[in-house]
Amino acid sequence: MRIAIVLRLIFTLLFLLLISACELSGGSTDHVHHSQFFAFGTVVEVTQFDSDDERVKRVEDKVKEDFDYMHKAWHPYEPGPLARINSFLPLEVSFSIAPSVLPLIQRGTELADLSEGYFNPAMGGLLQLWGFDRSEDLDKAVPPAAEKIKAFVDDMPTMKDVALNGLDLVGHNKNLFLDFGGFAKGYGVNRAIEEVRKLGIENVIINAGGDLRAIGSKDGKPWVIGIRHPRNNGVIASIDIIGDESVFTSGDYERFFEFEGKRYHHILNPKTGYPGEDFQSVTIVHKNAALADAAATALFVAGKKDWQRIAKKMGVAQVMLIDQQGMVIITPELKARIKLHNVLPDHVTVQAL
Amino acid sequence: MNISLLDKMIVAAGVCFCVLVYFWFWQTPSTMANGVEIKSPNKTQYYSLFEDRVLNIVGPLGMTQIEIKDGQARFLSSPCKSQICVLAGWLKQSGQISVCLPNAVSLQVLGDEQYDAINF
Repeated sequence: MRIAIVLRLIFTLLFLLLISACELSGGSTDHVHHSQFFAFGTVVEVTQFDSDDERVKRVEDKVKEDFDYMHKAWHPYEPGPLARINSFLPLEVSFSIAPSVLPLIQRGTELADLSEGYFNPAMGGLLQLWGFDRSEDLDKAVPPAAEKIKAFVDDMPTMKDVALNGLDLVGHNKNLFLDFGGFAKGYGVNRAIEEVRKLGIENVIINAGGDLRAIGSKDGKPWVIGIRHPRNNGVIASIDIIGDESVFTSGDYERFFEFEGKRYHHILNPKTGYPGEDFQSVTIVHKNAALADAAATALFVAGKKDWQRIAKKMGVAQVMLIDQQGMVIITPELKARIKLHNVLPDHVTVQAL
Repeated sequence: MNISLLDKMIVAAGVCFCVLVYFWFWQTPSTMANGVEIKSPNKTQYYSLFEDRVLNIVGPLGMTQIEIKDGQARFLSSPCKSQICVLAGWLKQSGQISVCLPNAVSLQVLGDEQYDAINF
């Protein structure tokens, strides 16, 4: 008898649990869809808040198609419009370019100018000199001879050497080689967001290899973005986004090799020809993904001396930098809204621009 | 009403069962696999699951090879006799683990919990 009562009690509890489980599975978290695919030379992740599976699939396909198109059009080495431009540039003769690359050149020039040249998409040749264009061989890479780096820096190509007249272009530096890797992801993410908006999608995150733009929300709740620690697999900070914002990070862990105990990474300082030395990572939160992307690169190499001035000039206020000692430097605008995880208070310095 | 020890045990078992059911229904991991942790006697290393590579890990018996490809990871070869680790095949879910005890190498897939996206 007593056992019967107890059993009844257990079944009642179980029944209640099951009912709430049903509610939960039909509730909001079930409408968050993650999908990942390889495109643009990286892993693109699309996170959507949507209950319509067909539309979710349509958006995925559309984003993949867009990124595949941009990859072909903007790849500096693989056959396509940008590689074609790069093959003509050293000839220093006028030639016509494909319209698909024009906005990239124009926006790249503006951003290079704003960053006082710290962001320099014209120095693809320097990346080649270091071997960062062949990431599969990086294990065997060694730093180039100092004289070669100096010779390149002494005649550093910039976007000012790219003379554009309509769709006609002339290069004025034999070292010119356009590589928009420093902001193509941001620019591409912006374009992909525009495209999915045309499909009526208002709640989505597009994350291209760790750099992302989030729009809308998940059922009125903010998207929660984790920012990875530059030296381990954990998350150093998280931030809630609701509406429309981008989070971009440049880090020395993305592409690098080690030689005689020293790490050489791919974020090269155009003023020295060597990798930026002051930071492990620089994170920017901004409305515009392309600007955030270029600013993360520029501030990384601008270093402790110049990052505030360049940030101000580029119009980015929310910045977090992790220096070589693992100390966090953060602007008050970002500190006010970010959550730091497992960071000791005396390892954090707030610095206004 | 007298409550015997057996009743108490049944109630306790019932409560435990309910707690388990709670976790089954509510705590289903919504984690995204994104990296691997490889432990060997000398060090612990972390790699992204999205960069294809073959890693050579040295253990007491010799060289274990771990392959990372297309968002999954596996023991490609191992100097151990049993080859249990190699037979385990591809790991891709966050939390999955495979261990080669003879050569003291472990491979675990890591994921990011509670975040909608990860910036890096």
